[in-house]
Amino acid sequence: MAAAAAEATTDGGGKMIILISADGKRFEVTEAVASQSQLISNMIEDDCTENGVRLPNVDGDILTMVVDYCNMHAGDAAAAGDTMKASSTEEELKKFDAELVQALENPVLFKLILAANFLNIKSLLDMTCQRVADMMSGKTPEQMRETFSIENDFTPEEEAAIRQENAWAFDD
Amino acid sequence: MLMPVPELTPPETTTTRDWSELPVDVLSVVFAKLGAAEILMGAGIVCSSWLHAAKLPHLWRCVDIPQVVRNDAVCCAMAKVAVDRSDERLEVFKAMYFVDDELLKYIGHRSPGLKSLCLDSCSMVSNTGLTQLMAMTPLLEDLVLRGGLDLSDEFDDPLVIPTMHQLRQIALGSLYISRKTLTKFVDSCPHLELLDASECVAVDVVDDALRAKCARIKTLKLPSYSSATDAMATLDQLYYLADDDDEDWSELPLDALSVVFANLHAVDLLMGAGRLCSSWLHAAKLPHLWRCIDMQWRITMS
Repeated sequence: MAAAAAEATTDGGGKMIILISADGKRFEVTEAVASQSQLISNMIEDDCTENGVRLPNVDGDILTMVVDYCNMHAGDAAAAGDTMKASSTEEELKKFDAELVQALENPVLFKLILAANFLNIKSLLDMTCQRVADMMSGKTPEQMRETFSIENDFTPEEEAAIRQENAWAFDD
Repeated sequence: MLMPVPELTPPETTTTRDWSELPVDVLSVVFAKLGAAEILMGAGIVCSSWLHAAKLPHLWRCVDIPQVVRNDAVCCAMAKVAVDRSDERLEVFKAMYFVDDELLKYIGHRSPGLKSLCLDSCSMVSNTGLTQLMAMTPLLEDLVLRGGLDLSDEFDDPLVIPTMHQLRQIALGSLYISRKTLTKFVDSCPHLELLDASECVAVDVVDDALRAKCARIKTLKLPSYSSATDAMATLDQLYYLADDDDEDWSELPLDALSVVFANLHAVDLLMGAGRLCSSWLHAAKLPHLWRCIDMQWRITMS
C-alpha cells in the first residue's frame, strides 16, 4: 500500500502523520501530537492525511517551532491519566512556554500567530496573542504604530470622527 | 560641501510582516486579552483594520473599567462607548469609582442581557440609581457592591428592589447595611443561592425572622454585628438626650461639640454621633477631627 509509511505506528502507539511545510520540509509526528491542531485533527477524522499534510502557508522554520510546541504539549496530554508524571511535566511545560514566548521576535511572532490560527491550535494562539497584548499594554496608539510598524491609514474624516468619539485618547 | 546623506535602508518589508493585516479573528483574540480602556485608548485607534476589530460586539460582552484616568467624565464617556459597541449584548459590567446614576441608566437602557454587575467604591451611585438599573436588567445573576453606597436604608433614598428572578449571588462589602436592606434583598430575590455580607458594617442586629428567611440560601454569610452595637447604643442615648425638653443638645456650640467629638472613636463618630442631626453632622465634618484616623474595629459577634 502506498500509504503504508504514513500509517506506520510508533512504539508509543498511534499512527504517524507527515506534515509538509511551504518550503517542502517534512515533519513526522504522532497523531496525538498533530491532533492538537484542530485543523489536522479534523483531517485525521476525515481520513485525508495518508499522503502527508501540505501546509502551503507555513514556513519550515515556523513549522519546526509549532512541531516542537506540539511535541512538548502532547506529552502532557498523554500523561493526563498519570498524575505523578503530569505534574512533573507541568513545570517543564511552563518553562518551555515561557522561553518560547520570550524568544519570539516581531516577524517570527507574527508568522507563528498566523500558523497557530491557520492550524487552529488554541493554546498556542492564546499564548502568542497574549504576547502581542503585552506588547500593546501601556502604549499610546502612536507608540504601537512604531512597535508594529503600522501606518496611520485613517482618512482626515475618519480621524476627526475618531477624535470625536475617543476624545480622551488625544488630549493629554 | 556637504556629503550626500546616505539613503536610509527601507524597512524590511519582506521579513517584517504587516501587523495591520492580522486576520480579524486573531485580532479579536488579542483584544480580548486587553482591558476595555486599553482598547479604547490605544490598540483600537492604531489603524482602520484594528479599529474595525475593536468594534466587534463580542469583545464588549464583558466590560471592566477601573479608574484609568483621573477624570470621572472621561471614564464615563469610555464606558458609554463600550456599552454602545456591545450592541445590547453587554453581560458583565465592572467598574471602580467613576460610575454615577446617569451611567447606570445608560447601561440599563442598552443592556437587557446584563448578567453581572460589580461596582467598587462608586460613591456617586444612589440607591435609586442602583435599583432602577436592576429593574431594567431582569436577567441579572450576580451583583457585587463594594464600598461607595450606603445600604443602611435609613435615609431619604429608600431601596426599592424589584423582584429579581435570576439573581443568584449577591456579595456586599465595605458598606453600611441594615436588617431592613438584607430583608429587602432576600425578599426580592427568590432564587438567591449566595448572600455574602460578611464584610459589611451592620447597623443593627440580624434577627431570627431574617435568619429564617435566609434558610433557603445555600451559602450565607451575614455581617457580624460589630462595635456598631456600641455606636447605636450611643445613638439611642443621644436621641434620648435630644428628646429631653430642658436642653437642646443639637444646639451645643460647635466648639464644644468638636471637643466632645475629638474624644470619640472615628467609627463611633461616623456611625453614631455624627448622624444624629444636621448640626452634629456639620460638626462631625470639621476637618481637624480627621487629622488622626483610627479605624481599628472591635469585632463582637452577634
